[in-house]
Parts: sequence; C-alpha cells; structure tokens
Amino acid sequence: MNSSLVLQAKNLSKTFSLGAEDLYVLKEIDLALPRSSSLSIRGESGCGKTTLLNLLARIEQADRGELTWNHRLMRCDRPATREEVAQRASFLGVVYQAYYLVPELDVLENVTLPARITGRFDPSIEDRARFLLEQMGVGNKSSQIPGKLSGGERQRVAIARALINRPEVLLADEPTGNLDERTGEEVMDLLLHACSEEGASLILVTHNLAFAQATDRQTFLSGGQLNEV
Amino acid sequence: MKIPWPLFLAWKQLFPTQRKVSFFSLLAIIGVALGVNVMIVVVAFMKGFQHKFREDIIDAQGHARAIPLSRTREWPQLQQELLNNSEVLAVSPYLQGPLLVQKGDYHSVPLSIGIDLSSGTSVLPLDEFLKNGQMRMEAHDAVDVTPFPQSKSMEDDVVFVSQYVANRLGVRPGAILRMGKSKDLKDELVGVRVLELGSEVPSAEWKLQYLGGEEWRLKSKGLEFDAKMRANNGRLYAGPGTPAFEVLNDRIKLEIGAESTYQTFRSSTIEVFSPVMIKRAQANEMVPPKEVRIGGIFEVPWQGFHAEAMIGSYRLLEDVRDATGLCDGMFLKFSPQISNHEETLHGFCEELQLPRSVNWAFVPWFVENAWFFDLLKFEEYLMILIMVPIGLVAAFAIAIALMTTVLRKIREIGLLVAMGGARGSVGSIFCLQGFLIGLLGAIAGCGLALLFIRYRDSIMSFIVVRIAGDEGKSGVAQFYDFYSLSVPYPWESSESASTFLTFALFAILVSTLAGLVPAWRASRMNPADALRNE
Ligand SMILES: Nc1ncnc2c1ncn2[C@@H]1O[C@H](COP(=O)(O)OP(=O)(O)OP(=O)(O)O)[C@@H](O)[C@H]1O
Ligand SMILES: [Mg+2]
Repeated sequence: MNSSLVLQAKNLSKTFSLGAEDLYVLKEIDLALPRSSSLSIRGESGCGKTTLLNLLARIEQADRGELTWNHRLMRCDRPATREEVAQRASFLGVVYQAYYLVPELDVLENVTLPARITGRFDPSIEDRARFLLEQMGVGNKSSQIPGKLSGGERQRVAIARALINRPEVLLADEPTGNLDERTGEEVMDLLLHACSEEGASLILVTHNLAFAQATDRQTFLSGGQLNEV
Repeated sequence: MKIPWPLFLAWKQLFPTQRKVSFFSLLAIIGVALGVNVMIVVVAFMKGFQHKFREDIIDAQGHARAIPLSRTREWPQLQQELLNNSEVLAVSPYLQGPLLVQKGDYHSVPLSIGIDLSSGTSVLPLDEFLKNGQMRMEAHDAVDVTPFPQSKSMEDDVVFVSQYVANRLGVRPGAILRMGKSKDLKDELVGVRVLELGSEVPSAEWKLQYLGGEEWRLKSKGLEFDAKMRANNGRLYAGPGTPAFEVLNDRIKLEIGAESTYQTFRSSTIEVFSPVMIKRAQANEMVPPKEVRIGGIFEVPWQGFHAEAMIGSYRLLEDVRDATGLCDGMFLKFSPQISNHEETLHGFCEELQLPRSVNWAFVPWFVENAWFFDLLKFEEYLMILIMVPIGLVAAFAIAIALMTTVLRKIREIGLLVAMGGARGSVGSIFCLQGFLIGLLGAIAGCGLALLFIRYRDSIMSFIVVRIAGDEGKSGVAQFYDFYSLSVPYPWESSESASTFLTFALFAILVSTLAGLVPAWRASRMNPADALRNE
C-alpha cells in the first residue's frame, strides 16, 4: 500500500435491488487519493456519484470491495464498526448539496458540533470555528441561527463545519448545486482554498465542468465505471 | 465539564438557541407537570383526610379502649394500675348501651354513654363537641347571647344529646336572649356579657341594672325575684336558678341606672327509660322514668360515631341501667411516643393486654375502625388506578410528539451519523428529550403541588363557592372540614416526601420510556437512506 495515499478504494461494487431486478450502480471501482490532493467526479444524474461517496464514507454497505482510510483497511461488505465510526468523525468531513444545518443551534454551535461528537470540544475549538467562519466570509454571522441565513451563507457554514475537526479528506456532494452561478463560484473558491490551506484532500462531486477542472484530477462516472478524463 | 453531545442536542431541541422554548416542549412539560400535580395533590389530600379522620376518631374514643370480656367491678384496680404507667395519660371508665328517651309523644333510642365526670373530659374533648353542636335562636328584636354549654355543667340529671336526637325529640338546652333593637345589642354598649346559663334556670324575663360602684341588681317580675349583688372578680352571680354575667367594665364606662333586659328559656327535660325499668314495668311494678335536663347539643366530627347518641354521667347510667359499680370499658389516652405510631400503639396495647388477657382486651383505635381506613385506602388506590392510565395517555402524547420530531429530522439524523455520531448516541438524543421533559415536568409538577397545598383553603373555598354557592359553603366546609385539613409539606413528613418522590419518578420514567420508541427508530435508520430522505 502506498503510504502517500490518504484514501484508497479497491473493487467497490454496489447493487440496489429494485424488487425483481437488480440495479448495478457501481462495478468494481478502484480509486486512490493522494494526500492533499483533489479529485472531481462528474457524471449523469443517477449514475451513482452520491452512492460512491456514501461507500467511501462507510455510511452505506457495499456488496464487495475494500477501503483504506489512512492505514485502516476495511472490508466494505459489512456495516461500519464502532472504531470505524469513531475514526470517521475525525477523518472525514462531509458537505452536501442541502446544507443540513441543525436549526435549533446557532452558527457557532453548528460548526462546533462535530467536535462535540468526537469529544474534542473545548474553548479553543470555538476559536477555530470563528477562524474558519472568518475564512469563509461569514465571520459576522456566528451567533445567527441558520434559519436567517441565505443559501450561500448556509453552505459556507456547512463547509466550516466539515473542516472543524481537521479532516484528512473532505467529501463534497454538489456543494454548489443550490446556489446561483456567482455565489457558486465564490463558495467553490473558498472550498478549494480552505482545503489546500488545511491540507485536506478533496473529493468533489459536481456537474459543473469549470469546477471540476479546478481539481488536480478529474474523473467521470458512467455505467458503474470511474474513468479518468 | 463536558456535556455529552446527545444531551447537548436534546437540550437544544427543547430549548433552541435564541428562542426561549420550543412550543412542543412547553406543551409536553406543562402536560407532565399537570399530571404530576394532580396525582400528588389527590394522594396528599387523601392522606390529609385519613389524618383528619384519625384525629376525629381519637377525639371520639381515645387512643384505645380497654374492654372487659364480661361486665366487671374490677375496673378501679385496673384504672389505678394503668395510671401508674407513665405512658398512660388518662383512663376514663364508661358505661354504654341503648336507652329509650321520650319527650311528649316523641321518642328515640340513643346509644348512651355514661362518662366519669372527673376523668371523661381528659379523653373526650366534649367542650369542643358542644361548641360544634350549638344552635342559635333567631329573633327580630332580640339576640341570642347563650354562652357555649360547658362539659363541667354536666350533672347526674343533665345530659348532652346529639343533634339527631335533639331534632327527633324537639328538645334544646336553655337559652338566653337579650332584648332590644339590634343596634343596641353590642356587648360594649351594655357592659356585661352572659357567662353561664345553668340548665336549671327557668323561663323568665330578667332585668339587670347597674347601681354604681360594684353594685348590681337582678330582678325578674314573673319569678318575683329581686336581688342585689356585687361583682366578684368581674363575675355577677345571684345564686342557683339565675344566669351568671361577666362585667366588661374595663372596656366601657357604665352609667348608673343603666339596665338591660334578658329573656331566658328553660332547657327541655326528657324522660329516660332503661331496659331494666321496662322489664319491671311489665311485672307491674311502678317505676317512674328518670327525668333529666338537656345541658347541650353536641356534634362529633367523626362520622362513624353514632348519630343517635346521648352523653350523660357515669352515675346516671349506673342508676338507670342498674349497673352499680360496673363498667363497659375504659377510654385510654397515651403519651405521644406511644400513640404517634400505629405499630408502637399496637405493641403497647398487646403489652398491656398480655398479663390481663383473661379479663380484658385492649383495642387500639385503628383496629376498631379498620373497615373505615380500608375503605379510604381502597379509594386512594382506586384513584391511582384511574390516574395511571391517564399518565400513560400523556406518555403516548409525548411519544407521538417525539416521533414526529424524529420524522422531521430524518436527514439531520443521517448527517449526525455521517459526522461520526454512533447510532446509539443519535438515538439517545430522543430518549434524553423524553427524560428532560419528564424531569422538568416533574419539578414543575412538584412546585405546583406545593402551591396547591399552600393555598388549598382558598382554592377549595373558591371551588365550593362556585359549585355550592355562598349558602352551601358553610355546609360543605363543615362536612369536609377543609379548613382544618392538614396536608403536610414533603419536608414535614416522610410520607408526603415519598408521595412527591414516587410520582416525580413515575413521570420521569414514563416520559423517558416514551422517548424510547422514537430513539430506537432513529438509531435503526440507515444513514444513507436518511440523507436521501425527502
Ligand atoms: N436505497 C436505494 N434503493 C434503491 N435504489 C437506490 C437507492 N439509493 C440510490 N438508488 C439508486 O441508485 C442510483 C444512483 O443514485 P445516486 O444518488 O448515487 O445518483 P447520483 O449520481 O448521485 O445522482 P444525482 O446527480 O442526481 O445526485 C439511482 O438510480 C438511484 O435511484
Ligand atoms: Mg447525488
């Protein structure tokens, strides 16, 4: 195993059963992500991009395949173990098309929530959260509640939240899908900038060719196969 | 201190940042609080009733009774022996049985109790009963100033009867009215007050006149009575057959020659027949019935006491029942160390009985009235039986509300798992919400119950007036005696504390359990599906 790879997937396959017939979404996918690099995945709607991210995050069980997070080698045909879940909290950050902020918490509490989950919450985390929010250009919103933010602002908060635990890999699933073009560009710039700043590797799912080309490597998912472009 | 994050989120979902409280949690907490409040109040009041009845029963019959297995003359020795025991405060022998009493064409067969004049009132608060039972006369141009009858006025030819007997026979104790326009009828204007009215005082009109200094004059034209008298320690008394007065001259400056008029009504007399007399009468022996005067009407608060009852002197009963030197039992009163706890009292009675068990039984009050307390307990349990399902309904409401939250937050739940939250922890958010609702509800409910207990009289009289009106209020209050119902606070009695604790814990347990189903639902959710959820 190459130790400069932060995440590696081998032979990942996933089938959904739709009643009588099976839907082969992913077929023996291999993927290697070097440390501090970025990778984009494009593909038609419904081709399995979100499913792939879910497999990489061990949120979903695969039919077959192996996955390595840093040095942890995991079999993907079984549910995530306790240790894997615990590692996921610090290893991965996730950003989705929908922001999924907790409406009962204010922005600062939302951003620090992953640190609470990993048990690393302390006052210095709040400083880091403020720093990240500042970087994302929403430093003045830290005591707002999510319900009073615009979509772009929410996505920036979600990115700050994904980065709070200094994850080694950031999974972003169409983070700009809900934003207009200009805001989308802004958010994408911030995302790429923050990832390189934090030394986090990025897997970006997007439909936007320009955003995809901003990453180190570009791939295209179709027919269950992942091809480098 | 680090708060576990599920607790943090549970708390925040109930009390979101920048909003005071979520509507759902407010409703749920109020619901739990009301439930806890109702349960505590009902049980506390039932306990209060039990306590009140206990007091009333002890008043009506002492802490225990020593009952001879057959009528005995041996009682004075036992009385002495018992009094030598420092834990025994009072021993009063009594005779008891039905007597036929008659007034004109009306008659009644009251349970008659003959009590020892010297020791009887140390067991029975007879003066209290007489105060409860007194009836006032109504008149236009006069006011009833009859003093409360006193137990010490009981003589061998004076009896007290229950209200029921008084009504049946149409009898009443003596009364005295002061004549005059109502505005002149204040004691202060007259300067004297009626102190005692012996049951031997005949019906007559009296004039009381101030002669100056300590000199007073009482006369009655009809009786051809005219006497001068001096105030003796403020007491004016012209001898047997006249009312006694008290001078209130520290309050008023009396004018010489001032006088006021009184009208007395003689107390009724009744005829008492005993079974023995009736037997003799059948044998054609002429036995005149015993004539006695009514000294007062009593009311015993204990409803289990015979309604048709008469209290007379021991000697009267001895006489009419032909029971010279006999005794049907003795009322006993013990020191608080013995009487405060039923087990101690029971043990003490057994201890007393053991060496005398051939002749005497010692029966504590609660054994004699066990049926009644069993009934009260049964009612209490019935209440709980009714309330527990109501509590469960509340639990279902909480469970449903939490379930709705789970459904509303499916995607958030997925995200929490994706962020590294363990499934169990994610589920526990909802369980903890139930717990917090239960906890806060229980605290609020206990607080409410304290307020209820604190203001029970005002609340009760408010309700009673609303339902029964001002008229009914006195009647209802007299029956339930709410104004003297003692409901202890939890820091005053361990029993009350355990009532509070039980229902608080019950509420917490039930609402935590209510959170369990939603919690299970949430923790079982597949995070990928949850994130996809619309
Ligand atoms: N739980 C499931 N059960 C059955 N089919 C599923 C399930 N989840 C996803 N699918 C199917 O798998 C395929 C891939 O879904 P996925 O969400 O990965 O697509 P996607 O590439 O992310 O699409 P989009 O660009 O529209 O987000 C779709 O056809 C979808 O219907
Ligand atoms: Mg998708």
